[in-house]
Amino acid sequence: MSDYLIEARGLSKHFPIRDGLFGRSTGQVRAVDGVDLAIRPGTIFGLVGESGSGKTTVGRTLLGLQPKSAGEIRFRGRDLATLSKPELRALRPRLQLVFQDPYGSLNPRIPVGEAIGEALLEHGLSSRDELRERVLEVMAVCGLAPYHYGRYPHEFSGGQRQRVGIARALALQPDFIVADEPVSALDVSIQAQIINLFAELRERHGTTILFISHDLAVVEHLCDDIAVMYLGKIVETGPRDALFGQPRHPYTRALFSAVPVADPDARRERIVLQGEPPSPAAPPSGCRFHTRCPQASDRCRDEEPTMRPLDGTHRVACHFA
Amino acid sequence: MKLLEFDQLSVAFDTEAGTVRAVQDVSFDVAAGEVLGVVGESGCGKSVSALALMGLLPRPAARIAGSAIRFGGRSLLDLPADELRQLRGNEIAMIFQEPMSALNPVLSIGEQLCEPLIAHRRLTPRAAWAQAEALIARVGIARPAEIARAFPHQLSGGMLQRVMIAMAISCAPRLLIADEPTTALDVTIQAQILELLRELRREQQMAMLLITHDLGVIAELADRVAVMYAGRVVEQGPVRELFRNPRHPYTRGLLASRPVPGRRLARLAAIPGQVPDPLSLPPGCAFAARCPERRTDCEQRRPALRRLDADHRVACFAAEGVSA
Amino acid sequence: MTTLILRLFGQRRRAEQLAGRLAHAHSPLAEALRRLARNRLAMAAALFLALLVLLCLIGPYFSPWRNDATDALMINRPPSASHWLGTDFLGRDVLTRLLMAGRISLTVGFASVVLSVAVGYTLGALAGYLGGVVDLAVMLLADLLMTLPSLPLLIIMGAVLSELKVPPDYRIYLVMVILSLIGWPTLARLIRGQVLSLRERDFMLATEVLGLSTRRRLFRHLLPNTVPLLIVVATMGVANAILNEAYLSYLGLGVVPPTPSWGNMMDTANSLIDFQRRPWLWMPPGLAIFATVIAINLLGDGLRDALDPKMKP
Repeated sequence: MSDYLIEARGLSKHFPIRDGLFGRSTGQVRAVDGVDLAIRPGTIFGLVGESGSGKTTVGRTLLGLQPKSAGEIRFRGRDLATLSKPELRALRPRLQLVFQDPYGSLNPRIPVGEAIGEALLEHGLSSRDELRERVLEVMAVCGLAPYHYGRYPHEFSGGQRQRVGIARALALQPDFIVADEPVSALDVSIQAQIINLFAELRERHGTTILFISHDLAVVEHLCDDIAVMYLGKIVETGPRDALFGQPRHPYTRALFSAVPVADPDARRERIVLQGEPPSPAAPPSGCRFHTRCPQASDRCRDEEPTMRPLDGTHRVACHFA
Repeated sequence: MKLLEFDQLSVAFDTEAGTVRAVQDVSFDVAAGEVLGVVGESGCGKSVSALALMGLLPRPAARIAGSAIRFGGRSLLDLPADELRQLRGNEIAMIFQEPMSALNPVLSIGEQLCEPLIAHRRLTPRAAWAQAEALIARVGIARPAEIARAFPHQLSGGMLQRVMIAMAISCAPRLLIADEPTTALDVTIQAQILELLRELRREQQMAMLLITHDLGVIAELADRVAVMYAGRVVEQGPVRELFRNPRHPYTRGLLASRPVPGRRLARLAAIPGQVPDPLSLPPGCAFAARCPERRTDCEQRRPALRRLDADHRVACFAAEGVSA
Repeated sequence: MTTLILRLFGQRRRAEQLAGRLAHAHSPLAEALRRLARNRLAMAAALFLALLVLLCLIGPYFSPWRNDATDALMINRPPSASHWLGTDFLGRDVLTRLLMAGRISLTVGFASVVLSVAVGYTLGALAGYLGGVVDLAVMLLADLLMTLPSLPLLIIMGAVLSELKVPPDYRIYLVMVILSLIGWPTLARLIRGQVLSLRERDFMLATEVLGLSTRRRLFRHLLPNTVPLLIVVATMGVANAILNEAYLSYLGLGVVPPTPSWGNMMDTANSLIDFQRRPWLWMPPGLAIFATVIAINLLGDGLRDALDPKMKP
């Protein structure tokens, strides 16, 4: 048994770029390229990155919703690739996903009580008689009232819908939840409610969560361990305190300094990165960040840095860190 | 004299389900060269106020009541359509959250930049094109000649927002309305755009109405802030005063509900409950149901926006009681 | 129905109370019906169609004339107290025939749509859900049928029927089959498109994450979301089928006398004398077709507005 609930090693996901009349593959987008992750049970792991960094793809590949191109995923120490179809299906309810868009992720024609409970019935995790009880219980955990049971998604606000989405995942008592930008579509005051809900899930139910977000302030507040992604690769990872206390990768530092702080006097030293992230279909040679890096040298252009441990689990992929 | 004044503006929409009071008795002003941040959550009326100012609200669905919106002393609400059009894009410019949908997909960037220059500045096409390239360079895009010939779908979101800003400043407006200008952008790109806006403002002495839900963006850019909730301004004041000494429980709630880097709390101080349904706003203070400092009469009586000191106003009985 | 009538007579509040009591749930369908009930034009159309169906069904029983009773002494009489819409060249009562013809035309229209929905919906949904070879085959067939010009096709098939000497009583069934053959490809295409776009929605990915069975994903999640589109398209399809039946029967290739249909009743307009002097022979069926098609289309528009798949928050 390993110390980690879920581990990914060398995880890659390449999407072919199809072109022309016959859909010939003319290249590939390396959305995720050799990612190593290890998540301790009962913790929230933050995966941070900008759009196009591949963070969503990591989450979906971990859940087996997209086949991986290379690498291995271990759940409780077992390689998922070695599992049979029925074993995988039995595993399905243990691994859940919370979506970003609280509007598109609920079927408009299904009352929320049914949406939360249907998978319980399907997997034989609850009898028909106790179903309502079980659903109301998990709804209460997520801050939904019993009278919400028979209502339809369009009768809810965005924040409430997100609660329904979380309740739906939680009803199956999963070991692992991937939460893909679960608060970024919500208003600020509602975001705080949902963030607190995730913190409660960890503390009361010991749920392990991969929290994917572009919002560093939220990630710092909520997560125990953090990984920063840039163009399909993890550039720095480590425990929260190490990462936020001493960010070592220039990208991590720039990212941290770019977050606007709600304090007009906090004029910190700001690193404004030049230019835009390159396309993942044609990533730069060497270190993928060298085109925007303030410290880039010739070595960065030619040689790709490998992940080096700094202290404990804090690791960074930079020649100069 | 103030450059822009909102005087008791109210906007209501008649919908199938009833009347939505989107904006009620909103008054604020912007002095020349000043940045006023309007902050609030979705549906609080901040964008509707801006659209009313631009004369872009759909009529007759939207009913505008109240006295006036004055720009440079002229009342915009009574201005004939063609004079308003002259003002738009020339003296008042606007940038949006989604630059992609604000640009025409079949025209090149350069052509779209030339249009206002030819219409408002009466430049020749050749001069306008040269000016367009200069503007593209001005907003920090490399290889301006190449980008001028590109089409919107070929550029990234950050580049498009720069193009939008170039278009907005092309006629050296006195007022720029920025409606969630960085919300759709990545953090590192957001930092670039904020930097650019700050620079432009310093350089061109341009006033700005900055509409956002992000208090961080406000703190970076604004001189004064108006906080809106359920269609009304609940607190207004200079940015430092408002962040140091927030008086309305909603403003405090907003500030407390965002995690602050470095300050680790077990729980965020979330504001409980939901924004009230705009179709049936309560008779009293709209925030009362979620307010930790609620008093007995808050749900019946509505507090007016009252001056606390110098330029700090708040609409709350509890805050008044403390200062009295 | 009561709500409907109250609404039309402007008794909004009464109607709303009634509707409020009837609607327990706020399901999207119930909300759509409520929206539809607020659309006066669509409601008037629905009321008209309901009255028309009722009239065609029970009207003939109250008529003193049998639809095929000829009367040599009462040929081509203009409307009078005993024959409200006059008589035709065999002395048959035009009103009675009109109502009988309504039964036939409406049945043909309705039944052919049911048939084409059965074929088109199944094939379209299968093509969209399964994709691959099935999709390719179904769409190839549908495209083939859609490229054939429908009117010449109808005429040829009608002529073949006439050659085969099919008894008039059976002909209407064959007409239904022919009409549905022409109708299904449009429907299949629309449903396929809808299924394809629904498959990409997050809530369908969610059913995969939850590990729901294929059956439940298909019948509880995917297909119910195609129902609004189906209702609208099928409604409009009835109007189309009624028109097509009228073309065919007018040309003598669809429903043939003595079985009356609105289409074959109009063929009296072929004679110049009848056309000029005896408008009671062809005006009533013409107006019946016109009004029915317009009413169905208005109802269809109303349904489309009410069922707008973009669920309003």
